Amino acid sequence: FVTESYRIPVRRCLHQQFDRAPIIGSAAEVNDETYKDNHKKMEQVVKELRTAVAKITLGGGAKAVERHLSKGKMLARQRIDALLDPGSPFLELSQLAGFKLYGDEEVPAGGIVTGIGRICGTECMVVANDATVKGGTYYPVTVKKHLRAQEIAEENRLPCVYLVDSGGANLPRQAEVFPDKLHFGRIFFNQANMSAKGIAQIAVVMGSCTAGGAYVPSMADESVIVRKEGTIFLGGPPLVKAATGEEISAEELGGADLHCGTSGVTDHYAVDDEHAIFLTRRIVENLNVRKRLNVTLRDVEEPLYPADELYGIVGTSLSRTFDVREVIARIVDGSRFVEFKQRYGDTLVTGFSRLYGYPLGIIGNNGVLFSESAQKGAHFIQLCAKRGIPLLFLQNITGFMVGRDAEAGGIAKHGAKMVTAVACAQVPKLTMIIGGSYGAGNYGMCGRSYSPRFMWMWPNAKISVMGGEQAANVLAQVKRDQLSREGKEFSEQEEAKFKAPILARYEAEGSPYYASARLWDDGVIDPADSRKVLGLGLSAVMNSAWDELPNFGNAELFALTYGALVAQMVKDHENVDDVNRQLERMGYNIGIRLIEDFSARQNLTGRCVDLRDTADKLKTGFQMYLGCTPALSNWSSAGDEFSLIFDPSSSSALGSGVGVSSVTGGQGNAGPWSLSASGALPMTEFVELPPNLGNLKFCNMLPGVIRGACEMVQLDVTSWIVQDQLKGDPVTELRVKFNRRLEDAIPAGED
Amino acid sequence: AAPAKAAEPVKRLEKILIANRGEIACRVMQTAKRMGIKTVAVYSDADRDSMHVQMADEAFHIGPPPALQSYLRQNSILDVAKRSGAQAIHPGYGFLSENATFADLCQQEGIVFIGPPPSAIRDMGIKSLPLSKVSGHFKDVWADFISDPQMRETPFEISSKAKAIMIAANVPVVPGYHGDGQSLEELRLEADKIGFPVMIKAVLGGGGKGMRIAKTGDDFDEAVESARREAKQAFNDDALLLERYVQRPRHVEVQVFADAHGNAVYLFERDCSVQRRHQKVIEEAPGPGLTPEDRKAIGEAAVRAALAVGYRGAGTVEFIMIPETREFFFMEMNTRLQVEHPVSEMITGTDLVEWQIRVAGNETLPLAQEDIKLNGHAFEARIYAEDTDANFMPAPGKLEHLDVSGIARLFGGDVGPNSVRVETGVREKDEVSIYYDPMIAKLVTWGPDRQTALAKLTQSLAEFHVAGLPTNVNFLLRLAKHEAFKAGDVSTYFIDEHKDDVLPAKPTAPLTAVVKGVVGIFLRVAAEEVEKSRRSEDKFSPWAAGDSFRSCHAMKKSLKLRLRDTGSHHIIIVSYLNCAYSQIAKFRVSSLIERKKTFEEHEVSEKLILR
Repeated sequence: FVTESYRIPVRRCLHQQFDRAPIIGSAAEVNDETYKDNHKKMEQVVKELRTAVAKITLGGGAKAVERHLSKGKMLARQRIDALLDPGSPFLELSQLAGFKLYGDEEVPAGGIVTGIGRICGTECMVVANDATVKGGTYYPVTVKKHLRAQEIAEENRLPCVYLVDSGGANLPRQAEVFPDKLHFGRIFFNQANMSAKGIAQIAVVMGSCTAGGAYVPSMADESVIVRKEGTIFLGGPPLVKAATGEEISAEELGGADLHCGTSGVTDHYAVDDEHAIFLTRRIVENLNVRKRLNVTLRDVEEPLYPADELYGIVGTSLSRTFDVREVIARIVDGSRFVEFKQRYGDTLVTGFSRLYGYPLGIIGNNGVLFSESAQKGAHFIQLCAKRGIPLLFLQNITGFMVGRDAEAGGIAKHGAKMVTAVACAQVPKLTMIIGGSYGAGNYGMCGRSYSPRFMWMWPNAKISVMGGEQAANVLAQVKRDQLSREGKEFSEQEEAKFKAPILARYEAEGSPYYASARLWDDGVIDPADSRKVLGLGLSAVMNSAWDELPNFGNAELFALTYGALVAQMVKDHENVDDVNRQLERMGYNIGIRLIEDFSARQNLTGRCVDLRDTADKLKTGFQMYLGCTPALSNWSSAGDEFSLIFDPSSSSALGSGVGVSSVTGGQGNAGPWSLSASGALPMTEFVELPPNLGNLKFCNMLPGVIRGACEMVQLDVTSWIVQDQLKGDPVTELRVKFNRRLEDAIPAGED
Repeated sequence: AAPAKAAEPVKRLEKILIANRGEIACRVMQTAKRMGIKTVAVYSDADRDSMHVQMADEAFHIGPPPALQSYLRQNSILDVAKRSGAQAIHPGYGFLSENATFADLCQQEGIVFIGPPPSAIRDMGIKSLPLSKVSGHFKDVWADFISDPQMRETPFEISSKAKAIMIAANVPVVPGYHGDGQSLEELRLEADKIGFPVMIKAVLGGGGKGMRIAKTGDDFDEAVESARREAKQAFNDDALLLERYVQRPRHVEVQVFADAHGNAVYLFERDCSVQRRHQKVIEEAPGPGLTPEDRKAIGEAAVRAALAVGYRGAGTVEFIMIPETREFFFMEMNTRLQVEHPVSEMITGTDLVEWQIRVAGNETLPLAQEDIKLNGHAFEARIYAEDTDANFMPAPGKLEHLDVSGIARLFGGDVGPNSVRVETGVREKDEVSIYYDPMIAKLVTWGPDRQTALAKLTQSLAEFHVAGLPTNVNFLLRLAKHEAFKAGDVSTYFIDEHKDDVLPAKPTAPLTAVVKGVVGIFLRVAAEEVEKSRRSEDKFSPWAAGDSFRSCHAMKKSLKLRLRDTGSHHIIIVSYLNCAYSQIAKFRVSSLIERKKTFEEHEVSEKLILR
């Protein structure tokens, strides 16, 4: 009923509209008192953060800096600035490392500056010792930070540039630095293994590399050394004198002239820092690294709302709630977000979006995790994992729901599904803690233990096994129980006194400074920089490849849920409308419908049910039927296999609304009835689905439905969704294997 | 008038050497070629690939770039002439064109010097050329020729010999009195003869000391008294001399031509009043506002001057003219073909180089005075590589771009000796050398009347596209468009009088603009990064945003710069302020003015053109 003449333009404009994700979020109520208060407080903590970082970036104090500069050397950060491409961002990691970690000893930035930046167009991991901080010696936190940088480089396949200027291990703390698995030696282990994997290792010797440190340049793929500054030796002049009595200067023992001219330990000779940096850039230029994207790319739009509104929306008080969608709206491209399972398990927000054009699956908390939210999360993580879409966790979680109902509903198992999914998903995961991070919620939302590629915190965040108040109450209860066993009273006063230190301790240890100082994260950031930081991280991640189809352990987590649910409901309800109402209440967009005179429309040939015309005729959008038409049930028997073919690009006037229906029930003369799943979109919008869009993205969310239906009738689905060329059209074929006679499988009809 | 020389037989020249370079060498070669005469070029190291070398039939290397070691080396040039078999040497203008010794040498070697006889050069020539009339790079060269130190900085001074010859030939000279009678009565008597205004100068004077101007007879006594007092004090001598004071002179010169047969003609006058640093900028012919009677009077005076010194060939007699009274006084005679000769060619339909060659070959002048008709009006603008804002400092460099095709498009088929001429000796990508005059081209336009010719000049200047070095094109445009110039109200002080209009002060950039400029540099870097990234697979990468993002602190870059306008030194510290989204880059720019030790801070937000 649409003529060709105006079909094309209409279609074009509608397609664009249709393809684009909807805009979410709303303008901030900037005059709202709560907003203003939030904004003010967040601004304050951001200011504190910036003040702390400003001090850290100065390095080891004016005196040390002056001494360093007087030798004609550049400071660690100056070296990095010069090394990176002009204008390149530097995604610095864990600026707060070592913050108030060693009592009076200040170790700004952990004595080592690490981060990602672009050199000659290639994203590289730069690790630069800050010799102004305790001579660049390795404190335990320095080692940890160095190793974390290497871990990030390895996971994301980033070439490593080590700007070495270090006195080696911090001798008084050698026990915490030297012997363990993840101690000093691991640096060289990593270097060797990364090099083996083809991740370039470049060392620039701009200071001393003594003992173990000598291996940094020695194990590098290519190395540069600066004349009169860089030295490399296994034993320094004092040790040599002690051992052999030989008196020799550091330069003679292991300087640039020796190592470039005689020993061959280093490859390039630099006259000063700047020259060394120039040589290093040239090394990177010849790495032949090419970033290959294995994701789709879309044009970039900035978010619609100002970033600093995040201050006012989120605030610093964890007891104040906010809609995480407002946060998402201030991070993602064009504030566009396609929500998945919007009406189900609504304490977890899941959906697809784009960040700097890269695809991103986002999971954000809108409250405590219930069974439904956990299952939803598990389902969504599986989808993203299957499609190779990186995941972002916006963590603000008090934990999973507790209590009798929750346990009875199997929260432990449902929560486990989400944790399993998070643990097994092979796609890159990014985590940003934007509020609280407590208990098992931290696990489900991809805490540090779940190896997110990057993890950042906002300065208002808190992290601990549970809230301070809860912990104090738990411990007080234990104490009270103990006292009461002894027949003693636990007065309110005593209780307050008992709880106070616990509260204080949780407050201190839950602080992002405390966390970041110990490298529980990769840095505390200004919330307003979230888009930038996440975008840089996500882009860095794109240097690596990842498996798209992971093995999810024991959990076929969500697949069975929906089908089983529908089957149960069909049993429980006599009326189709009742079932649909119930489904709708539960937040499903998928309903069931009765199709009359179904068998007349079948085109059955052999063991293949071709349903391509059916949708046209029914004008309901495309549907896939698996059912008990008399014909079908006649030839179905155990061990039989048949195919259902449907066309995702039906050319009917109504277009090809993509859907699937599974059939259950109805045997008898009154004709079969079927369950029809029409997908997540209202039928009216199906009108102009573009041809050849392919239904795969829809089908991907439907295996659960199909499986459920099949399971109900105890059929095996051997394979599904086979894209094929049949009669020149892309079609989808679903093959179903019967493990029993269909007639036997189908329960008696209700009517 | 000098007696006509004995007629020598007509000698047809087959080959001539052009002892010059650049535009004039090319100009001479063009005519020579048209006349079927072979040409020989000489060149220095700097001119190895020059246009004039390419145009010539033969070219000879004569030495290193400095003119004293190449184009002024008389023996080398004569040597080349002999080796190449050139019968004559055309000296062009500048270099050896007014060198009597060289003319003598040529004579001795039997080579025709295409120019006046040495005696005429001596009588009129170089000795009267004040140093200040010489452009920058010639200065050292000319300095050797000027023996009289007083002449060096004094404009409009004529050598006493030339003055005497002119007075004898009834050519008006600036009236004055330089006598022993120093009483007030005697001086007053002389002053009345000279006519007011009168300049009273100390005989031993200099630097303006002991100098007074009496506008009328009423001021005279007092001026004499005070000049005398000052002279006595300064020089211990109170002898004074008097001279007519020319307040706002015009520079009017007459093109003359004489042959070896005692014939001399004038090809009307040129007005070259518009000058800077005593060098002409725009010339025109005929002189605006001159009546036919004036023209005849000044032309005939010029011919008398030429004949008085037995002149031969092309010459120019320069006069200063008082615009109000139309009185004119002999100033000097240039015994060469001048830079601005094309304007005379344009209005008379002649080729003066051809005339020079013919006259040098003993032919008679092609036209008699009554056959020379004044036709229309012509302008010449000299396009120099110079910095008009830095006191016209020569600005040599590479002509990265030179395109005058727009002029041809503008005037279509009308381009030619009678409409618009672009006389040049350089091409695109050529070097304007530091060793020689930095002239790029002469733009000559003709029209049936002054207005049309000037309009053509303006239009052509606008189509004269040069890039790579500073030029005076815009300055010339401002001159040509100036209302006073359009009205023909010119004098040698024209540029000084209209300084604000023709040399508008370059607006000094406020620091905010400097800051924006600095930010611009950083933005350009950013844009380049974005551009590079766009060509890669990862085309929207935030890594290529060029914003130097740093988490929780600002990346700082410092830049040292000196502002040419004020000469002040600045250290500009650019802090990249973190901005949440990528497309707006915010910078804080601190400018430390070194001398003042003060900081100025500016916050600049600029849109990054990222995608």
